Amino acid sequence: MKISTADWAQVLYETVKGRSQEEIGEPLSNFVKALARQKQLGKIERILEKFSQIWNRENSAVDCEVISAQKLEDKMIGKIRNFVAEKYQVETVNVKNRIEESIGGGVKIQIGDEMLDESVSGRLGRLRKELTYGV
Amino acid sequence: MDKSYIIEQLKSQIEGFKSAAKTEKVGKVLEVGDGVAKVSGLSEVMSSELVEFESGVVGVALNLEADEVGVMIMGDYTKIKEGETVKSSGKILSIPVSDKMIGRVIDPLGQTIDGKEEIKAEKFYPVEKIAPGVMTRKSVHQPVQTGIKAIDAMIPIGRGQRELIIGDRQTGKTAIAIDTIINQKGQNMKCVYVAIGQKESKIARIVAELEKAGAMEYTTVVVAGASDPAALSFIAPYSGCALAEYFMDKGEDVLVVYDDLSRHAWAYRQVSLILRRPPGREAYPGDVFYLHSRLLERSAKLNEDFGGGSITALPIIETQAGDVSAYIPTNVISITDGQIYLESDLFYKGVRPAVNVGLSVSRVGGSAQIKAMKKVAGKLRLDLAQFRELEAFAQFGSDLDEKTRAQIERGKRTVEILKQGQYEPMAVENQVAIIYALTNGYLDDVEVEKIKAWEIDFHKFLKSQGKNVIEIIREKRELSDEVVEALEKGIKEFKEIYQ
Repeated sequence: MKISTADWAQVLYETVKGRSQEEIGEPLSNFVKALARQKQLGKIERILEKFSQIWNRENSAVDCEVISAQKLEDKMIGKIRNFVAEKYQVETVNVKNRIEESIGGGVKIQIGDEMLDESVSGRLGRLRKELTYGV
Repeated sequence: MDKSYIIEQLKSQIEGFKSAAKTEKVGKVLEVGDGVAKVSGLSEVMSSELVEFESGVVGVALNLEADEVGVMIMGDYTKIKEGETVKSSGKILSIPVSDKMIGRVIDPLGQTIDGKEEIKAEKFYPVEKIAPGVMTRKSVHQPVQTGIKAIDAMIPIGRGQRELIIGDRQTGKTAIAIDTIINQKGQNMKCVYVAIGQKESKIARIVAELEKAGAMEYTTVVVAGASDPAALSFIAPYSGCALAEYFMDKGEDVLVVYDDLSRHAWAYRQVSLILRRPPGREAYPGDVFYLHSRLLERSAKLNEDFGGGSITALPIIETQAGDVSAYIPTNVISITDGQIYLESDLFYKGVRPAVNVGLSVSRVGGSAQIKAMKKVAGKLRLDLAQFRELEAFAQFGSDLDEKTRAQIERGKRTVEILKQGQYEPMAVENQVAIIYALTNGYLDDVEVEKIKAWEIDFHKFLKSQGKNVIEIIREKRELSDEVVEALEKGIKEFKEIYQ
């Protein structure tokens, strides 16, 4: 029977839930051994992604990536953090700021697989679509 | 129009533009290659939803799995990089449709490819659609005149029917379809010719012929050429059908030619195998029957409550070595309302169109013929079948009784009359006249080799007459006494002059 990445991630969560930092050493090594036995070590990236989602859900947190053309000030990051916390009804927001000059200006906020594109390049793209014909 | 006016217009459009950003669902490309991309994320994507890659290419989400989405790329997949963002558009795959598409050559996504001006869409029609239900339909009762004597007389096609054209390569399948399209001039029909995986040179030649015959005034050509990705060949027939449905919903009659569905099945097989769907018989995926049945079921005749429009489908299938019992041919034969079976043997013997009347059938039959034709061609099929049986004895010419010899002679003349040149569709009135002459023995005294010439002069003669036979048949559409009288008179007059 094939065990899906979601199930592995759930198992990992159950293993470490409620334990302290000293206690998780052995259970984690058992987990890795189990993975190796099932020859599923290659899936570790996806399992960690799913684990991160489960953790956030259980602890009312979201991971948020903010892409901007220049480094954002703390005040701005605070505002974004509050905005996301309200929109997704969570307590903690882990904000990561990535710099990408190609977007021109403004910000792109990505939470999981939802993206809010208020960058200059995004708005120009929408404007172009509006003004031209096509699918 | 001066420069400042244009600038003002542009400025007002830009100002009026409300750039409200909404959250969009996105994903990331994990793998890309061979026309398919594997994407993670895209959690709420619908099946067959349009997705957009960052590089501008469009794709269709086909495989929805737990961890990833298999996206079929509708364009150049070499531009897409791993790690790229993919946005879902919220729209199911649809194409722009418009009256302006008549006379144009377009690709399966609705973009023009004939180099003339762009078309702005009036509406968007979904490429995949559920076929009209039972209660919205009406039985087929109007004819589609192909202009080909062998077909209109013995295997008649009606508006709303699906008639398969099946045969080996180079037997004249496309020629029949093109002659049918050319003959729709003045018949109140729109035509859509869908070229699936065909050579670009062949398509160019076809478009040129259609333009020469004036058929582009009511025809649209949808092209997914041999060098286009398989994804475009896959949706080409559905796009053509969507365009036809746009006209049908307005109450018009449409003829759609799918040339050809064998390549369509190959393209689908390619996409399915790359998406790792399990292969079945002949490596086709398990739902290859559904691939064609859902396409052909959308051809229908609607009743008056729904506009009374119709879509007639002429799918084409290429067989290998005459094998009609292979997988795809048998599938499509069981879906369509009849087939026109073309044989290479007949083709090389000089019988063109190479229709095997015995194996060809039209399940709609007489209800799709004008009364005149029904009466005149009623016995034609039987006579031809009997002739084929007796043909072997034709070698023993002297040893046969009078009746058999007469039958053989009549049969030979029938075969001669049914031969027809390419791009020479004949109006149904002329067909009725010549078949009447044939079945009533007026050609029995003409030598077989001279029949063709006789026929050509006969039609010229009928055209030159005063209040002539052709017009009477066109008006009355049935063999009333008046019509029969006019026909007999015309034929006798011609025979006298011809001597």
